[in-house]
Amino acid sequence: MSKRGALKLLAFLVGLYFVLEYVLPEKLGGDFDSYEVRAPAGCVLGTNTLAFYVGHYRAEQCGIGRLVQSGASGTWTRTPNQPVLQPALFQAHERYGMSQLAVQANGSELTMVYLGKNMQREPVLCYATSGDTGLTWRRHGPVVFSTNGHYWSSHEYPNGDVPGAIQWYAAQYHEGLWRMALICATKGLVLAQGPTLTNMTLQPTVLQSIAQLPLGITAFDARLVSNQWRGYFVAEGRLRVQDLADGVDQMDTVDLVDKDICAYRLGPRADEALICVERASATARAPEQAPVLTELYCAPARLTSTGTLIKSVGAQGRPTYLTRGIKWAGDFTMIVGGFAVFMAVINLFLYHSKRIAQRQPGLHNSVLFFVFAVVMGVFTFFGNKPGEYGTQIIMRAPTPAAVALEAALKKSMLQAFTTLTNINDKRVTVEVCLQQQETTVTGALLHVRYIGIFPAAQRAQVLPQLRAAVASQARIDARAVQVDCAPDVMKTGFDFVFKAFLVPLGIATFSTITFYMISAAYRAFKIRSAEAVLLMVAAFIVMIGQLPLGAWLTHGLPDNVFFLQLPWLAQKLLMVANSSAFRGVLIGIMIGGLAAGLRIWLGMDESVYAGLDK
Amino acid sequence: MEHASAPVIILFVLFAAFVLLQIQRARHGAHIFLRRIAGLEVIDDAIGRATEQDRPIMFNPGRDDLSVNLFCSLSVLGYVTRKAAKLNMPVNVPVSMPLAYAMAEEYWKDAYDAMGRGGMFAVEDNIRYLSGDQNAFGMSCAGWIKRERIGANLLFGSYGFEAMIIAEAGQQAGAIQVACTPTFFQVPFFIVTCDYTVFGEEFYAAGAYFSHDPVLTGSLAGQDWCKLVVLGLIVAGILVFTLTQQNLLANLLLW
Repeated sequence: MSKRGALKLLAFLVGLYFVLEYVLPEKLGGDFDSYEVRAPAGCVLGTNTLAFYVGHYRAEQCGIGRLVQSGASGTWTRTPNQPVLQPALFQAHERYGMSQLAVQANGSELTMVYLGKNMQREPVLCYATSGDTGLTWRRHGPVVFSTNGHYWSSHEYPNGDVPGAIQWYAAQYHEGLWRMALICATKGLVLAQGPTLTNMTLQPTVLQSIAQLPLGITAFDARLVSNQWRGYFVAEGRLRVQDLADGVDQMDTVDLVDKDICAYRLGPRADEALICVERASATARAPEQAPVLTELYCAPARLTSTGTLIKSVGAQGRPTYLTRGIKWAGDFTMIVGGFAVFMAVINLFLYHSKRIAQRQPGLHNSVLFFVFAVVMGVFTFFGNKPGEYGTQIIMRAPTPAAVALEAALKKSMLQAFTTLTNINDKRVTVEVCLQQQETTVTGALLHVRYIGIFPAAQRAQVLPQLRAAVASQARIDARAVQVDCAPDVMKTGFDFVFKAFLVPLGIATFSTITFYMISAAYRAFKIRSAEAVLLMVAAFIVMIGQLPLGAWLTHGLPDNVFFLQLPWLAQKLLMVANSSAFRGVLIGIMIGGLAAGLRIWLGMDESVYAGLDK
Repeated sequence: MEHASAPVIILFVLFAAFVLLQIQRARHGAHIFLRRIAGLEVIDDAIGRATEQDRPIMFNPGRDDLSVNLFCSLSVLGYVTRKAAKLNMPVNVPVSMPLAYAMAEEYWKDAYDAMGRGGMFAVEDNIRYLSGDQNAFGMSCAGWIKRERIGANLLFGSYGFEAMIIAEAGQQAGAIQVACTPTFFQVPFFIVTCDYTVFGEEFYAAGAYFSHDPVLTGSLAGQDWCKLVVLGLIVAGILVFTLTQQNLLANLLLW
């Protein structure tokens, strides 16, 4: 096989891997809830105690999982392993995920209400039903609210007349009626009821305005008690229980055991609640794992404890079976790129050294190139890592106490240094070495490296204080403490060259565009043809319309000729005319790129293999 | 990386089928008509003009890293270099990306070798890696254009704000400039500074335009079929969206 043929085959195989990884359906077995769990909801259906939750395998990709509690042992088991409901092809109302589940059992049927996120990432309240204990679900679309008896929903208002975006809600089927409490953005708490979820009538008055509701709500649920709504608000690290009708707290607010509860839903039983807790991971995790853990608990309704742990997740799900290899491909590309950078830098060096050798005009630029290349190279590659300055004392057999003392001293000395001087802690590196004889600390060496200015007079004041502080904390004689404080030449130099040369040069270069644009505009805006006139007028309208001047020029026009106002015209030109042209061009570019990529992948494009023997 | 949903897979297969079908047709001798693109036709004239003035030619492949755009740029580089080699003219190639530098070198040498002019010009003098930084790249190109008094400045690739700097420098040096870019946002700057501007899908058509290779021309025809499908989907979507507006339907029924 020739070189060209071998490369074509290799390119095809690598491309095939990427294409398969892209087109393979995302596997949603055990991985579908590996990243996060949210929005739990539970109910009792006959002898089954069920819980549902939204499992995420990536930030916006999710599926609804089902848990069943075993009667005997009380353990929760996820069955099936696949999600029972997930955002699907033509479900525009839940294109970007689902949240805030609420599940009700009516006889043998389950009804699940959920808040979907549509194409505009706006919340839409939808519902689905299941006749087989939640294994399969049938969607029924949005819940429809109205105030005047006409039940219309539209693409723009899929939930009908609801006054503002639904932020939180509670739903309950009670005495043959569906009843809901909604918290709507900017409006507040409103109630609704109806015989079916597509026939809900809103009460005309807002029960509690936004100002009356607790601040910083992170979760909300409500239940009918003696025909009155009792609300459970999770806000500001507390669970607050109050009657929604009068806003009076019914129970003492409970300080939460875990203050980062991100979901709360009453159920599956009357005295229980399903909660989700977010915890930042305290231990080091592999880069592909999510740094935040989410845990699902079945807790007492009043959250006197976190209750029983059901699930704990926090890993990056792998969308397909081939996703792992993508990282390897990325690593390989970086390695090849590194070699390419090396080649490119050699080219630079060869060119400039040739200019100097041949004494060509402008060789001073080439000299400067070498000077700065060497200077920056030295500053970058020889910048010291923390702890590599001068002489170090290394403990031969460090005891845990000594190791802990070193860490404590390092932290406290950094704080002391930054407090005593004007140098920011990001510009200081502190290392502490303890001298130990058997198990007793007998001496200490403190290295401080700083970037910035530290005058000698100030240094003379600060160093004795640091020495005394170390001696006091380590309980040793001050004479046994050595403090070595010096500027980090390498980092200071790098910092200086970057900020004093590179950044101002970049800003100056960018500024020249202003002048170039003026001269280009002068050339372009000459009225030579009809198209030039059109260009000139459109440019004038868009430029002036963006300025306060444009608004001022036409602010006196009456409202019925709003379309003559310059800002409106400018917006329409940009948002309608310009963006439609842009999208048309973009479609062409994307299709062209697809075709070119296809040719290269299938080895049809010979021009890619220039220089290789056929 | 996002993953394909069902409609994306269907469209991907459909578009690939169109492109491959048209390529096969072209390979079997079907005539594919390519309309005239002024900006691409004038490249030969630009090279000729620079030769007459004894001023070098510059081909700028932009700031694309290893990507489809880079391959398209470099295929045009091959064509331009062959033309220039025939006229014993050097082609200066400023490069911003290291991988692009490695590949441009191969294309350039291959073109001169193919025309029997291998070794006539030094590679390191004509193909230079300038910088990955936009500011440095733009200013280096501008300085190069003005120092060497470039006669024809061909900008084929993706650019950022440095497009204005490079093109304006060429304008001031009196070079004939042709810009061909897939990036939409720099098009206005190119239009006001360059003599000819080609953008969008015509960037991908450039290779087919020069070589008349059946694979490339067939691919262009396939792209047109794909665009027809997209147009059909847009019209269908507008109709469906309009007619399923509940209020609209009710109002029409009550009218």
